[in-house]
Amino acid sequence: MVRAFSPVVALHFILGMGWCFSCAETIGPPSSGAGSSMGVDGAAGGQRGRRESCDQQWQSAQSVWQTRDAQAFRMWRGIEQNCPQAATARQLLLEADQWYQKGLTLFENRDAVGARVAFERGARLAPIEPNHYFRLAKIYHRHGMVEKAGKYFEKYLRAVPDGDSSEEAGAALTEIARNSIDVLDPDQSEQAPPVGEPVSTLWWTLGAAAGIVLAAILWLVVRYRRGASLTGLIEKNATLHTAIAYLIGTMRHELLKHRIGPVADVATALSSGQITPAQEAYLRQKLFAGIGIDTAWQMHVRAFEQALGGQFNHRRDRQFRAAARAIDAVAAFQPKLLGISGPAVGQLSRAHDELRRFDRFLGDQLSLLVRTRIDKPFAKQVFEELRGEYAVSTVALDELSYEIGTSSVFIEVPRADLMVILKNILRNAIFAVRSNRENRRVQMALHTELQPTGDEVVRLYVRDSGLEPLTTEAIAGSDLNTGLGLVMAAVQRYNGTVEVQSAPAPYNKAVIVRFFRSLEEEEESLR
Amino acid sequence: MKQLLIIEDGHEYEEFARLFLGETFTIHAVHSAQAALAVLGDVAIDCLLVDLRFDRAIEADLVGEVDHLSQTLFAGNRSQALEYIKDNQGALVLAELRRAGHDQPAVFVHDFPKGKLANLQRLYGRLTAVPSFDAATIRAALLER
Repeated sequence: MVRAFSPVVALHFILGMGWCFSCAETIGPPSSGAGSSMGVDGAAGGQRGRRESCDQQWQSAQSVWQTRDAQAFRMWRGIEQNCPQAATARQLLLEADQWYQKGLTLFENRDAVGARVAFERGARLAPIEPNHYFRLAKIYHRHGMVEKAGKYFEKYLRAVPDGDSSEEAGAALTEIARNSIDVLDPDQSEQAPPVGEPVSTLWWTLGAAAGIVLAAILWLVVRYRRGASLTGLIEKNATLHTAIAYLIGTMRHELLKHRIGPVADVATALSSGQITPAQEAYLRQKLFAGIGIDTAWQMHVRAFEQALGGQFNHRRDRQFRAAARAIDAVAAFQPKLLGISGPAVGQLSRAHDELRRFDRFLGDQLSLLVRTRIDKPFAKQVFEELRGEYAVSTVALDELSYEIGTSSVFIEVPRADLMVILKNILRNAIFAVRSNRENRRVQMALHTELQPTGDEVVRLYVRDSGLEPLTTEAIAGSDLNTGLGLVMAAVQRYNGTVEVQSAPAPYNKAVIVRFFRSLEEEEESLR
Repeated sequence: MKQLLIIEDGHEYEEFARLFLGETFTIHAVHSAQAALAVLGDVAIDCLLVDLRFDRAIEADLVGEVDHLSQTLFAGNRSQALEYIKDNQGALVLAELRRAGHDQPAVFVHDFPKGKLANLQRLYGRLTAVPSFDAATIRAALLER
């Protein structure tokens, strides 16, 4: 399935206006256990009847969810308690709700990309609690997206007609509707400026024609000159890196791996002249079934342009232009896959090679996007900037040091954000030891650890000898206006975690930030 | 004919293999580490084709301690831990097979970062990755050519 991505439009889809995730397939009804082989005695029959009823409830709850009906949530919650599926449903609803809540918070803070990712994660697990429609509608309204707000107020009212906020939603909807009608109010048209002296039809026609030509030229100029290529945009706008990384990842996985990948098999099978009907059917399905491959490409490109606020222009990007030509070449084979040979097969192979090149280009861009090298020079810079701060410089310390080996590691966090994270934790640690009469120590250390998944975990320890208590929960609950609140928000943004542990003497506690190591080739990130 | 064991959460790899690798391999397909170990106990499997992400698997069938991982890696966030385990299930399944002494060449259809692939090779020996469903490349990788 192709996932087109525009943060705002996508949120709308995810939350029930037509988005079809594979979630209903991913969370299938749990196995009802080994089936009883007993005869149809009363107890077994009753047990089986109950099991069937449970299965039925679970299946219909899932089916309703697939249609994105707002009632799905109630059906999931309503599965009878003695059904084994009830616990599964509740657990999934709970887990999904954490993502939905996070998505709403992010969207509230205008992080539509982050919100979309969070909603996607929620939608992979379970339906959304209908009360969230109201909050979402209000956010859309605050963001000035009145039409979307109206749809979600309406959706909320349909799902929760007697809810606590129904009255407010109804009033908001009426207000939106009234404003909308005002536009078409016939009284307004009467206020149009009076028409001046009659002008000859010829002048009107010439004027209109000139206007159209000018508008067309302007449109063409804007269309081809606005925005930047992907590489250009990556270089000049670091704030878009996370969104670009997501868009690239989606395009590579959905389009280039799963749909373009089989093109090589098509070419090989055709050139050998031994393609079987089953193979042909499989390849045709991969390449051409559902959304056409050219339409899928256009959807991905549009997702790039919409999500990046029009700052990206695929027409200005040589790699995208070449890939678009290759996609057109592949799409041209749609009516006739069987029976082509010779030069046509060569053309298909060349298109595939071009798209493989494009995939490698995207992979290279992805590896460059959000990486920071943690090494001694980086640590030195963090400490120097910190020492330069007046409040920090007034604290006399017995130790302010870092322990970082000679080798460096990369993590997928932009340098500026990593600086903010570490400086805030270190500053907090320095202020924590300020009230000690002696033993005022702060140390930063780096450790990596290989996981059985092949990933490497990078842990940055900031240890201090301060006696003030600090807990993981306290950091997690910190207000965004505080340093640690900022740390928490920044770390979560890059899929990291923060926790507090006790530390060996002479320290008292350690704040530990965890990220995954970036395992691309290190030289690639040196631009 | 060589015996190929496919381990995946769906049927896509199996369908692909039956159509494009069927002439070279007898295909066996399973959906969990436990089922894979059962087949490996019965049949002399020559090579493994392993899906990495098991989005559709239920938690009970997955290799990996969600609660433990949520505490050690995800600051108590169980959803993140479960997602991580699903996203990397193929590697964890392979770890189980290697622990049980099965060292057949394994192939992933995935574009791993180079460092991660090197780590996986260091951990699990005979392992390669192919970036897309290209039958000729996958066949060569399975046969270690």
